[in-house]
Amino acid sequence: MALARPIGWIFAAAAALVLAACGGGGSPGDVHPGTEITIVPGQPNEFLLFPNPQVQPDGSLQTNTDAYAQAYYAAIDPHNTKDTVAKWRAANGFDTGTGTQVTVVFGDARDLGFGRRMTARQNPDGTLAFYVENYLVKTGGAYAFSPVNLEAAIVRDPNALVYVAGIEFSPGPAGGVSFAKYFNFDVVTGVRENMADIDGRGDKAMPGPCIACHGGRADALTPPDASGNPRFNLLLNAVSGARGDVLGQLPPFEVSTFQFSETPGFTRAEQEPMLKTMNMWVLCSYPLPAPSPSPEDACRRPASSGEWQGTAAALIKAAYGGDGLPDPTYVEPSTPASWAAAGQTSLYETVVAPACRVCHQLRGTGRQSDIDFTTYEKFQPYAERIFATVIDRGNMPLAQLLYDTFHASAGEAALADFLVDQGLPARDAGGAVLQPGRPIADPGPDRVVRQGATRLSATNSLFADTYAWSIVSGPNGTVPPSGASLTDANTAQPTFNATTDGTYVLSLVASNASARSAPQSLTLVVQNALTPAPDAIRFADIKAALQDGTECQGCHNRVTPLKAPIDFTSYDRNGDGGVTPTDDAWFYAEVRSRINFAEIAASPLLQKPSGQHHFGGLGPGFDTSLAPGQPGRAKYDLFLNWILNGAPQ
Amino acid sequence: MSFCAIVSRLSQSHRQPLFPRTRPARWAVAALVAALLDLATPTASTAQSVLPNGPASAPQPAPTRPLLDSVQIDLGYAYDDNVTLGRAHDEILWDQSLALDASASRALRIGDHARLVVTGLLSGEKFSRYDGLSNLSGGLNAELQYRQSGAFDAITFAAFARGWLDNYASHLRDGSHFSIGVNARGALTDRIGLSGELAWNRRHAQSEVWDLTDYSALLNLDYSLGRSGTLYLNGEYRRGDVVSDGHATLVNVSLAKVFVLDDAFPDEQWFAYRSEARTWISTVGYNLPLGERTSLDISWRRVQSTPTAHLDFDVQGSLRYVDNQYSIVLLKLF
Repeated sequence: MALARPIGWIFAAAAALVLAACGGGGSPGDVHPGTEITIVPGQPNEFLLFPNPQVQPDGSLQTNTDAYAQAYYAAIDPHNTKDTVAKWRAANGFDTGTGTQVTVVFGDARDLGFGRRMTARQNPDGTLAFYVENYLVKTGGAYAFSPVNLEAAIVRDPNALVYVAGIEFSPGPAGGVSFAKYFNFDVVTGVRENMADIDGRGDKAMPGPCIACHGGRADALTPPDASGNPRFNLLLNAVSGARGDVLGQLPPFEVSTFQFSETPGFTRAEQEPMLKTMNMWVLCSYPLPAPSPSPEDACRRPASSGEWQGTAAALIKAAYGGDGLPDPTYVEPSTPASWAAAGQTSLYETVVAPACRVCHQLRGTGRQSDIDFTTYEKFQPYAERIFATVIDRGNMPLAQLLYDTFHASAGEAALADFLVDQGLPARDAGGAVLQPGRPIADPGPDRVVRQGATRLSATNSLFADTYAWSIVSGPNGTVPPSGASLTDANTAQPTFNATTDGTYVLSLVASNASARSAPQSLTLVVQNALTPAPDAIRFADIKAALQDGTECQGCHNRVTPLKAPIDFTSYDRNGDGGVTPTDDAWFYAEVRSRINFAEIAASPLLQKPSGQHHFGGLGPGFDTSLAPGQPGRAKYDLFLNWILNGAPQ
Repeated sequence: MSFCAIVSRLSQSHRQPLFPRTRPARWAVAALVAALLDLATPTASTAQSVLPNGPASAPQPAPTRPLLDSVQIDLGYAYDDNVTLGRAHDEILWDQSLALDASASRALRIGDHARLVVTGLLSGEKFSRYDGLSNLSGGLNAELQYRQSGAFDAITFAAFARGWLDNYASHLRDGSHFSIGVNARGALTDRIGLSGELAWNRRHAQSEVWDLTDYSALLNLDYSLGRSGTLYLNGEYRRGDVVSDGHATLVNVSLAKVFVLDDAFPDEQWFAYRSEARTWISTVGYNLPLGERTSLDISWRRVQSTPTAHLDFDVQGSLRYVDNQYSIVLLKLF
């Protein structure tokens, strides 16, 4: 008994202490340095990728594969003379005392969030090189710029050095005209790497994450050559004539978007002269579309009509006071006159300048420049594509940081107002701007098919995993429909079986765990006399259509001065001295490269001849204002059915 | 100075609570030791007067109660010149506070040489400038004590476990803390008492920033001035987590294991961050008896903490922080 009481006290005390030790669990605001950013499933995550990433039959994105990067570096550095950062720096003359070399440190607050230490140089031969150390202090959760990143760049904190890039503007291996080349080096070993993770959202193949914004193109690789390796594509409108010239550019340094330190030696005022020097060098890399008396343009080569026209030069000049660059410091230019004259100053200042211009000003050619958005008249016809990329897909703006900033800014509402004015439903019934990430049903484009089984596909739908198809009406609008049936109607790829010719309207609703899409209709015109049968279309049929007369070949021919990026004639593509079936395989790869299997309706192979943003305008047989099956859109139907059948060779 | 007092004062974050529980705990320990001696030697021993924290420097416990052996209340004021435990000059904020503490003990005899002492503690602190630091804590201390004999130079050994529940005006700090350890105390001379303690301390809070773990080693020296009071001096070394407040600078983020926007300094947009550090804590104090059951305690405590992390870049200034706490506490034993 004497012992029982103390033991009771002991147990009571122990219980109280155990209770006292409970608690904790973390608060939502806790941040763990070093933690990678959080990628939310079901939310847009197609950043720093090309809108057409070259989806392969196995589902892989060819422009995001190691093979793509290997082919790129094999093209621009075939003898691996720049496969380490030391070799690359030596090849570009860093720290040799020759040429001119400057270093700046700033925060890339707008695009990638890095603190950047950039050493730029102009060699005596006019070639340029930019060595960039990118610093990011990982704080998990959100992806954003932090002044801490800038601090890290100033002190060169090795733990925060996440990415080392090299960009040079120099001739290709065979000499000739200089073009931009993009390198990525391991931060520890200095070895050149094929993949780079520059936004914490996973590795992406070089040079993709660079050139996706810097004006570059994402054409497919060639089939394997005699060595067994695919080659990087050759763009026929590249003045350099070099494989690996992806038409990428050097973007202007938009100093007003940078953040600077107050640390002596790193203030904006102290670094403005170097930044102006760098912008003048960048300007020198731009082709000159017309003779200029301005001294800063003397270093620019004449532009070919088939290439980019140095559009971004206007920004650099405006930022430094115009021709002659009289101003010592960069000032964000006022709204261009064309935008102001169109009464779209607000749209430009809240949307285009902060969110579009950085990439779009580096795009376009002398023949087809509307994608540069330099005027409202160029911007407005892109409304549907803007709706698709910004409101539906969420792959524009192209970088996550800019995407987040845009959607948190007044620009989101301004763009929505513009789109609504264009007749596009960018707001919901309550007036809120629609956000990417909601289910979007995409049953594919309207088309003509034969009787019998036709495989439908909802795989271009977005943010959805559940599908519900239905036949809304049959021939002549019969409701309930007759003459056709659906099997596997609740799958992504049901089968439509028609026994009667006529026009059928189907509906697709796509859903995920939390939401349903608006129904999207699909019109199928059943013509049993359709020739060739959709599933029998092969590349030979497409090639024949492309080479039918001069409608396509007239411009898409390397011998014409138009300098289209692709040639639709048959020629010795692989350079083996003759036109062989192998060249046809290369031709096939080039044509397939113009199919966007991630968004079939947006494929250049369909859009361009349909007259959308195409220098050649509307091609015969591609009039999409006509119903499927009409003769005036027979080629469109042919191409579309080939694509929907997987574009077989 | 008692171990319980020091640990209870430091284990929460190395800063709070500001008020030392030095004297009340000191008395409590004196009472407990006295009781222990009473267990060891049924008659009152002269050793009582030479024990560390003995009656010479503290009021006598109240007569035996049905449930409690002693109850103490103390009221104090403190000034802290670095409540943020800030490293850089522009990250240091000062504050002053009032505190009211109460404790009650019960000794339970286990055998001729051992007993269990359970002490309940309740503490409230009110800060003047940064109310988020104000807090109310309550807890229990259980100590199993052993003494071989009632001889003057006999050492008292103890193992203890302590737990508190903490409620702060700053919600992020709410939680609990817990300590376990061992200690020993004894008298070197009739005026000098020496004690030491080893402890493992753990704290949980709403924010992981205050999820702290550390080890501590403490040495305390009391020097009795007879009826004039007691001077005491102690030094403690801690190895483990500390929390500081400051700007979101590269240095702070690099040191941090975890950080959070601190709701105790809402106007500053400062971040509290946890880092690992070596901490030296030294205290010098004087306890002045004001009667049989009342005394006044004055102390200066200096905390110096140096991060263990090595930064791979040049840092302007020192990485360590220094905090000085000055307190005056009126102690009353019932």
